[in-house]
Amino acid sequence: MDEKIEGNGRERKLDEAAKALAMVKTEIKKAVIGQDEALDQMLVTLLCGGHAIFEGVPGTAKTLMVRALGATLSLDSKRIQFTPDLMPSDITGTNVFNLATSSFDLMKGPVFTGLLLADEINRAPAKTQSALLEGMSERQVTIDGTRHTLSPLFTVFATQNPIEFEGTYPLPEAQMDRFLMKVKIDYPSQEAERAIMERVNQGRPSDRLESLGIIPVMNEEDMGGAQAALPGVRIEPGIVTYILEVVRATRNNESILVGAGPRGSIYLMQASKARALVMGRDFVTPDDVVAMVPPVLGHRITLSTDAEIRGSSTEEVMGYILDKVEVPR
Amino acid sequence: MKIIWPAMVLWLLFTAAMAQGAPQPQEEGESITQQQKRLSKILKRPVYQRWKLRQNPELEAERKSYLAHTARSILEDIWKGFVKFWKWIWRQVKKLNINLPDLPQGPEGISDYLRMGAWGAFAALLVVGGLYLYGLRKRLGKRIRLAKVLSREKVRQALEGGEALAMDSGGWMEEAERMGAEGDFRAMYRAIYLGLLSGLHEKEIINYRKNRTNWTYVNHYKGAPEDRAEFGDLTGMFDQVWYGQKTVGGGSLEDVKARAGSLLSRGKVSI
Repeated sequence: MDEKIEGNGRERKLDEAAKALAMVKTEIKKAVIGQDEALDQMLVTLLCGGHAIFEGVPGTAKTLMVRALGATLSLDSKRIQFTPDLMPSDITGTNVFNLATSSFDLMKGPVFTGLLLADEINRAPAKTQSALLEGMSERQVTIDGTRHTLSPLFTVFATQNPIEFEGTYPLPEAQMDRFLMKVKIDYPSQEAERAIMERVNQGRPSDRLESLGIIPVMNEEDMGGAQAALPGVRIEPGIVTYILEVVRATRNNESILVGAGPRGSIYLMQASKARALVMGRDFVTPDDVVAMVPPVLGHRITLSTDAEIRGSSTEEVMGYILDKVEVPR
Repeated sequence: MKIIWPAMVLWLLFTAAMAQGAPQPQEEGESITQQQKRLSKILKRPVYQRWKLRQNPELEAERKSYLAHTARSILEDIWKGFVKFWKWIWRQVKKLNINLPDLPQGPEGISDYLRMGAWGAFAALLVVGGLYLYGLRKRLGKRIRLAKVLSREKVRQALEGGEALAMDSGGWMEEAERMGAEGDFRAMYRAIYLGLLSGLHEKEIINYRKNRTNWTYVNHYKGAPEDRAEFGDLTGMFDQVWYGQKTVGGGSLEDVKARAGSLLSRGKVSI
């Protein structure tokens, strides 16, 4: 009897979370057109309590997506443009002497927010990057020896320009591994681009969110509830084995120099469960896993020199791996 | 005399070719009613034969060495066909009622007839062999598949691995019946769905590969749009039952089975 009540409670929580997430998607789509997959991946990142790195050419609505997401979740969203002269204190904040009170007042940096868009993260030196990475992993920052707690929903969406690498500090593999996923943002389709142009033509540009009628449909507490409901998403043992086989296959492939580690398996499972919830289901299907493999594992593998010379991309290699592993049914 | 030889060879070739398509003569006094014919057809159906063989535990050992079983049955078929063919030839020769010329006298004449007979037999063998090889190519694959299905071990492996092509759709539907009788409705739905995949692959409506997800088949469905929607619906239900571990009743599964059967009965529509 208790188990049944518990089961009903689980289903109710998951149902509420799925409905709320569907409303969030509807609201964000008022502003962002033609980036449905990237939008789902952003929500997956938030649900898992992870961080994402965006990769895409300029002008593909990266900043807009973060702003719209913040608006629908009643969360603050800030943006930092990373430059070579950016200092750690520019991110975390610093203590400033107040002459009136003769004491130090904390001037909080942009890291004290809900959603943070770190634009071109690889333009800043390693010391500045690591200041942000401490906040990402521990959700707290240390300023002058004092620890300050960040928002429990603090999420970083970092971008890397895939074309220009001159004068940059690429993130080391260990730091890349801390990002839950790498969201690839492609050009919108022709129809989507036409719709964007028509909207601007009607005098409703996307950067004025208030003109698009976006309303907050969730708050920090609701999102926390959705995160708490995530473990209740059912995953069949066969699918867990499937995840394991996919991750382990990255370690035995001749095109891959370094395969995904155990963190990859854990994140792939979590992301698959979160995707199922975003899709309105309380159970994981192999399609969830297949959809999450490129964004979750893509940046955790290093291609071999031969594969790079052949011109293979990580997406191609991941596709090849998925073609080799049997789907449970 | 020399003109007769090639004529005989040609005649043999012609009669052998005709023998393949000719209706087999019935025995005198044989009368088969329509009901018996229908029963005979049912008993010859692979589904019935598989079911019958599974009931017989003595045949289980034989099924395990299915390749030997297949080879032996093919050889038996060849021998039966060969005997039938020569009987038919002999009946045709008797019907022709030809006045054969007198045998030439002396040892030279006998050797001529022997040589002619040997060539005739050789030509006939070539024709029969060629025709059987042609037929064999088609039947062999089917027989091996059937033999695989007959093995209980293979059925168990197919069920454990979820390998849809391990059995044909008929075999999966039989397994579904068995599971339904055992009250395992979740496994019953799975067997129905695997049977559906196997049948759709056989009809070339989907291209089944074990590393593709179910929704890949839905997205690349080559049939009519309404059939695709139906397939998508059945796939969604399978997801709920198998991956979502939702409970299902036997009654609703009979409906699902009928829908799957209806989808399989419809042909491929090019779009």
